[in-house]
Amino acid sequence: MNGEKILRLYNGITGIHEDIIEEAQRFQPKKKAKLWIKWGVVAACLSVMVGGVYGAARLGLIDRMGGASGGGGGGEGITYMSYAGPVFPLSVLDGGDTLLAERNINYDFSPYEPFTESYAVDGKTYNYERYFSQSIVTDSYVLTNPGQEEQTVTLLYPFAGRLSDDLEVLPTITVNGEPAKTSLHIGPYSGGYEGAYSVGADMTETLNLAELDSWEKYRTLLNTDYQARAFDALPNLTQPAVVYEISDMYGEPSEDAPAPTLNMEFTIDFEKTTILTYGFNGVTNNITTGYCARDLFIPREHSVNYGESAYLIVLGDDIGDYTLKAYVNGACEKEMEHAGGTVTRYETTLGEIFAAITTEQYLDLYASAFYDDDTDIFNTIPADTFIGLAAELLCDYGLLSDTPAMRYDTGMLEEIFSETRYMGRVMYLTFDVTIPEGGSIEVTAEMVKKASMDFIGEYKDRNGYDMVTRLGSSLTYTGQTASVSNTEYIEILDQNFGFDPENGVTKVDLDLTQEHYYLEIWKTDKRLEKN
Amino acid sequence: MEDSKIIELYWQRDEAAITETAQKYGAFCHAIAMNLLQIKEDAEECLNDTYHTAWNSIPPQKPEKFRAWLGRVVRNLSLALWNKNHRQKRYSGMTALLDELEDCIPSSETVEQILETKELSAVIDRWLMGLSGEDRALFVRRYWNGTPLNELASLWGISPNKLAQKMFRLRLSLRLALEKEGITL
Repeated sequence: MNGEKILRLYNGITGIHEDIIEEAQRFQPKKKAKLWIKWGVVAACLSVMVGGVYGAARLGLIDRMGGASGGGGGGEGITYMSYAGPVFPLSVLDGGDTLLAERNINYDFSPYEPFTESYAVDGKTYNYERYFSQSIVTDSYVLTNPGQEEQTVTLLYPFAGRLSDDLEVLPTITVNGEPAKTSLHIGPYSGGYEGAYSVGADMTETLNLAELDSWEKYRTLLNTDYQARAFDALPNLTQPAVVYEISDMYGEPSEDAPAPTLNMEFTIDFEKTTILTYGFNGVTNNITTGYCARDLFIPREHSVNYGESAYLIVLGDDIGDYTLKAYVNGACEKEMEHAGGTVTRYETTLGEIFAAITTEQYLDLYASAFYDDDTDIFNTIPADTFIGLAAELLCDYGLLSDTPAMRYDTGMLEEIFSETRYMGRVMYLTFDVTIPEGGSIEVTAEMVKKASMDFIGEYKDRNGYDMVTRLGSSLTYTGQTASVSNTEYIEILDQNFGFDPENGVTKVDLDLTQEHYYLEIWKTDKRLEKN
Repeated sequence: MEDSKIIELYWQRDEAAITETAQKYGAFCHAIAMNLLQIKEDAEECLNDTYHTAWNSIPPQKPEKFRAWLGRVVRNLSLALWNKNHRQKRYSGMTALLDELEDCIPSSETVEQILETKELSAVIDRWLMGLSGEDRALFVRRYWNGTPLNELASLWGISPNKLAQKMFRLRLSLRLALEKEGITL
């Protein structure tokens, strides 16, 4: 144990710069205060900007996304803090009306079996036991074609997830035991937005993500055109844009200048100009005077973004005259000598600069800096798809929307990229099958399903799993069953399936008129480290 | 009350300074103390000591960022309590945090210089400024505020497992940054 060294590091962290500490305190979920606002200039103006420009339109957004009420994520009573979403049934994209389907869904709880891991510190090996709060779901179907002609159809398997999910969350599809060739179609953000404070919140605020937290909200979502949007073309962003690229930034920190900062100041008419940025840390907007500033810390050597440009993207009327000055820190009050950068202005389309920034900066940095060994869905999709999904978010809820969410009113593209990766969605795997006349095929989807859970509080040891029988499916189901396996490491706390593993009841028939089934369990020995 | 007014009260030796500090930043300081110590009585002792430290230090000090200043005091007092009592008491928050920070310790093979704490903080500042705003906030909230991983995962809307991976990478990144600058601890 490097006790003394760790304490020195602890003390080093204690002494980090106040601006960084303050920034972190204001970061999510209280997103409103995340900005590097120049309080003296703009604090009074911000509420005017928020209320005056965007406030009225947001009510519709909340109404649309508000969803159903009642019922918990995994059960009837609990709304989990982290809801993984139900397992959806197999569906068919077009036609297939005459196909008959039978289904069995199995929850395998073997991931709850403890296993031993070890790590070494200073030559000494430590062992500890852990388990995974997840189930292996095998969702099996027999599709029968009762007709007189062979049918070739495109089947559709929906699942709830995020691009940041591990690949094991992505279902593996087999048809008659053979791996199927599938296409992934990614739906837009499935949730809505809400105020920063849950108690006494201003319901018109759209500062924080309000992810879907119950199966009823998924029902509401799938009763819209959501599925169709997952198959729509993604936006191209063809509008003209003027780009101010800040490059060759220089300026060394010193005792007098602990955080060299560049600040770009200009004036716009907010009705005629929209500003997007990449690489900037701070935003100042004065809706009354039109004064704007965007600032950034000059990247240091060894920084992820060292040597990279920052971009100010102007949509609509150009900004005209501007200044770029260097300051000793993020407060942008005391100017700094021997620091600066080069500004290059050029005209392009938003789509081109958006794609360039995404591929040359965001994806490059995130692929190489911290995420190179990631095996998540994000790392498997083409760059063009990610660009399109980010553009979709910008158009749906960012500054290109008619009703932009307050969450994105800074115009910082980093936020759009990050959210694109982490926000909840419904995704669809499609694959073609041919079913002979009078014959049947077997289709199986296997995936890891993470548990719904609370991180703190009364229910924090509970894990929820749930499924829907017919929601969103156009197949005709003639029967469904559910089963559980490897239950020796869990205890069922609540359910509406009817399982009783201790007495051998591990498979039950499901009532097709019942839309939703849930299961709440916990690990029989909760002293182990949870993952 | 604005921070500058509270500081003014301290300079006037007006005991209302303590009341105003407690009202405005009591919850913030208490949260850090609880995160680190996880024992209610000790967290409250730490909080009271924080107010005393503020009373005894201002003047002559005049903190520009009062919240951050108070947080530092809480961290220092929490560490002092940990040093004093950790053999008898289980301060699980601090123990977990210090365990995690071990990942950031640079390899001794790269030893060139041992920095003063202030210089080390400046190096960490530079590394933090190179991160995305999100990663910077995550690191600070975990290792400065001491916010438990589960709570952060809930706030960030990602799984604790995923967050743990992310934090591990951040710690390795800091270690690499320290090694690149030839720093040991």
